[in-house]
Amino acid sequence: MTEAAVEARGLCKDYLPPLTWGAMIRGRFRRTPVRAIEDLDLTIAAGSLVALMGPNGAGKTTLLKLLAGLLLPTAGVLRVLGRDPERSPREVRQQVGYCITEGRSFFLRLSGRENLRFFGTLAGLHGPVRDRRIADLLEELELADVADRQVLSYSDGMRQRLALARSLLHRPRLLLLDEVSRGLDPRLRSRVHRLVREDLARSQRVTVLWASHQVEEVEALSDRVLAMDRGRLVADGTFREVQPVLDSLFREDRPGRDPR
Amino acid sequence: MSQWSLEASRAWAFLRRDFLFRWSYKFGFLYDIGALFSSLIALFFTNRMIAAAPPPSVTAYGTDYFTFALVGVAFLDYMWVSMRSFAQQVRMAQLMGTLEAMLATPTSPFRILCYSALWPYAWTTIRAVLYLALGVLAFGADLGAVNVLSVLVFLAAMIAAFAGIGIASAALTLYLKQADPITAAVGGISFLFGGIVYPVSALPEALQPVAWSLPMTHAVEGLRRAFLSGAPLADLWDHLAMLVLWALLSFLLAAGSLRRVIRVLSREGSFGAY
Repeated sequence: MTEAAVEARGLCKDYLPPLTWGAMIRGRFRRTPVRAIEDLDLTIAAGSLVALMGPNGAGKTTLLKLLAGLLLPTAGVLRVLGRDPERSPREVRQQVGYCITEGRSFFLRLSGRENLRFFGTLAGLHGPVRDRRIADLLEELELADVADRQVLSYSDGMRQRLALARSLLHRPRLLLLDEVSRGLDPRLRSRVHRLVREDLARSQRVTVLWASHQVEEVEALSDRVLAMDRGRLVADGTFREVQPVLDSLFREDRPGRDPR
Repeated sequence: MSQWSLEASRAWAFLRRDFLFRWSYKFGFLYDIGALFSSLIALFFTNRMIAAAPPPSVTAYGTDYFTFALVGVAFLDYMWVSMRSFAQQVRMAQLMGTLEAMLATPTSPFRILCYSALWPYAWTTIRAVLYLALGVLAFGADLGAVNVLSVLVFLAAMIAAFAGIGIASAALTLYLKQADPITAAVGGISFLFGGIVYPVSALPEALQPVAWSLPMTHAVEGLRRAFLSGAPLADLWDHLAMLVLWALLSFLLAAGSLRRVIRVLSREGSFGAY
């Protein structure tokens, strides 16, 4: 039987909206939670490459943050690489790479290499091992030429690749990617696809959960596709099996929703 | 790799990051150095004004007003940095968007917070040494009687006493996502009553017990006597005991409040918010 990298049973996540002035003046301090993940059951086998799709506000980023241990579930059971992220946050984070593609998540006045050196040390690497790993990733992601420039001067695509390099520094067993190919030109996109599919998922048996809106890349890359909508898992299967659901989710006349 | 060398390497990574960050703002770097001179010149002229009749509460330390105030002001920064830097670093990481990226690593939030304050402490130490050196070399302050061991022990105790308050204040900043009221209150009261630019005996009698309940008063008194009269630790144990008590209480408060806030924010999902 294949070992599970992720197991979730009845997983729920609520967000508390900020207090409004009106509520404070009326003395109503109880906030009504907004449900971002609703009763999610999920098992992801180790070494698989799974795409996570759904419209904005479907709960994709919330799910990735729960798996990265950045958020705690409101209810349900969650095990990541056999551990509970709430009880063993350090052990989970040692084996999970969460690719935060928000461009501001770097120290912009430091160079790309200095950023990787800093985050690599926080991830538990140091000395020549860390520096060699950084050099390899910079080379692999075609950032070696700009590595000593301030991140401030990087394009969106460069920051995306730097974010991917950061998430791979400590050789994670579970990689969580959030829109990682956004802003990349077709050649770099295909390079990132090859890295994730061939090197990480196939050769190194890294489990990859990839949130994306790009239907073509999901079709080309993934073993399995999860479709989410309004915090629920609405389809799970191969791309062909899930495609009709995706078509309806991304229909132009469908009303949108953002849980936050 | 041992846990100690890993932690040393993490601490160094924070120091290096913050030095490079600070260094990249060249005018700010130079401004900090220039500000030392203006403060020294102000003290020097205040001293000249009262040199003919120095107050007995100052001469009791066996020195002039300039040297008296020099020691107080040099170490005042340690109080501010202990109370402000933890919260400031948290706030900056929230605003810059780097907080979640750091929290996604296996380094614990408590360590991230503590290591973030290393550069502010290092920079404060550089400035305090420069300040005292300039005071001695350019303005003739007399620090010849200094007891180095007493100074170092008191400095460590002072940092510990205020760092606990600073970490609790950072926890509040994490939650409120804005500057907190703790720093302003404790800092303001300490500056007024802590015997920094005037001795506690110069305060009205009714206010002196307030002054002696503050960690700043004991820190400044101990440091001043170690610096100016070369007092050994045996003569300063009562002040040291008060600082250790403050350190224990404030660290208990800090550890509890930080753990609670991290848990609440993980549940609410508002780490990334600012």
